[in-house]
Amino acid sequence: MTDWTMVSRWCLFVLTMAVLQIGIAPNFMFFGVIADFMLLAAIAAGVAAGPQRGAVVGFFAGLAYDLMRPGPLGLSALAFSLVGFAVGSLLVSVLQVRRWLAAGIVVVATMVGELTAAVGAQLFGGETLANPRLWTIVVVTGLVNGALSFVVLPVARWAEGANAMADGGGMLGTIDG
Amino acid sequence: MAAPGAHRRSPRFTIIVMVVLSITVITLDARDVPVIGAIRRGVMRAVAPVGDAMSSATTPFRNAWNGITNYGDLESENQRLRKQLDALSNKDVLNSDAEEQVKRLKEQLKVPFAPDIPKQVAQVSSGNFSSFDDNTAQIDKGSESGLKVGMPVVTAAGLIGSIEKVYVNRSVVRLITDPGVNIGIKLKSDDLGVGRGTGAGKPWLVDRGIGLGDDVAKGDPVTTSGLERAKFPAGLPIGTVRSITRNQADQIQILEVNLVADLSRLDYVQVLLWEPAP
Repeated sequence: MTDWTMVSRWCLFVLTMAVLQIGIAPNFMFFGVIADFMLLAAIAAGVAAGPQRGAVVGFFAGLAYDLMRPGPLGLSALAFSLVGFAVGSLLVSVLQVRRWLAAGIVVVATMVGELTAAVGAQLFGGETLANPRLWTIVVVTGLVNGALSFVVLPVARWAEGANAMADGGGMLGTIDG
Repeated sequence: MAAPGAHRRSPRFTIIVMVVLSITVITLDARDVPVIGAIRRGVMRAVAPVGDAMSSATTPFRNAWNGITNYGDLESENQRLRKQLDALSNKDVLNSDAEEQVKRLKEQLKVPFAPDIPKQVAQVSSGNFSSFDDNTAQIDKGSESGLKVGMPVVTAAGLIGSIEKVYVNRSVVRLITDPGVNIGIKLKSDDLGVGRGTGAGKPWLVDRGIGLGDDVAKGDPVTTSGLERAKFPAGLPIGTVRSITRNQADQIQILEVNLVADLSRLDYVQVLLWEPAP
């Protein structure tokens, strides 16, 4: 049975991330790099709620991102969905992930996600892999998302509600001392 | 406690559905299915005011942030502005009021080339939400102002790009720094070639068509050729030749070009209401 409270929370979560992407990210750049809140939404869903939620939230976050941008529609949806699913699958067998490790996973997943999106855009006629700032974008976005994960992951856990992978010794409930 | 996500029924089925959905959307978009275009236009209309409003609201914080993160750039910018101020003070511009400044802004928008082509003034708006979109810019005019895909976009200095996508009150400009944009060019000597961008902040190159015997020197102007079926009308300034490399193997000269328009500081631009031949 569909838990509409949870669905509405996830919608609110993605919408909030979209507003941050539109209004905050372009105005507060790090080394000229725009933070990627939408990819962070997909990864946070994977970390907080597993592969299924990671895939679905990643798809809708990516689709929303594509709708705001001039590139091919659906490309970020595909990339973010795969990344959200992969992160969730990676963590599904792990009972406990300490906060710092979760942030580290977000960093790596963001870098993989950015590269996946860049490869996808290249396949569709873009010149993203030839972008001279590609590695700066990948590294800086990863680090920024890793830092933001300390705030965003608890919000993602809230969106998932009782099903969040956090109870007691769960991954988000464990605090690295 | 059960492993996280273990209670999910079929994550593999879910990801397959998401991948199929994504590929479907990509295919529909590539085929220009009207409903996809309509959704996109709707979202762009909704997003634009949000982006603009938040951009305005965060201006003081953004300035402070830029001051912290771009201190080196600010120093060089400060030096550049001081020089400009010195030059301007000689012309008694310092006493000008806001109206005078608007007048001067309008003067700046007087494009000295393509006099016979009607133009539409537009302002570059917020809109690049991703670092991978640095070869595009968004402007605040769209189809309701008569803009169409392919129309050239210029500043008073010269060509900056062409319209790639048009929405009702907003358009996306593909900048000439994009490596995928090839432009037919003409040199002072009337020799013709083809130039292209190599990415934002990287040199603009003319690497086709200029033979070893062709007459070219540093500082020579580079303009659009405007040959039949060209994407741009003739005579739009692109830049000046910065360096020349003789390539004996291909029997050509490769020109590195300084763009005349400063693409990193776009504010007001003009769209030439000129459509390339289909």
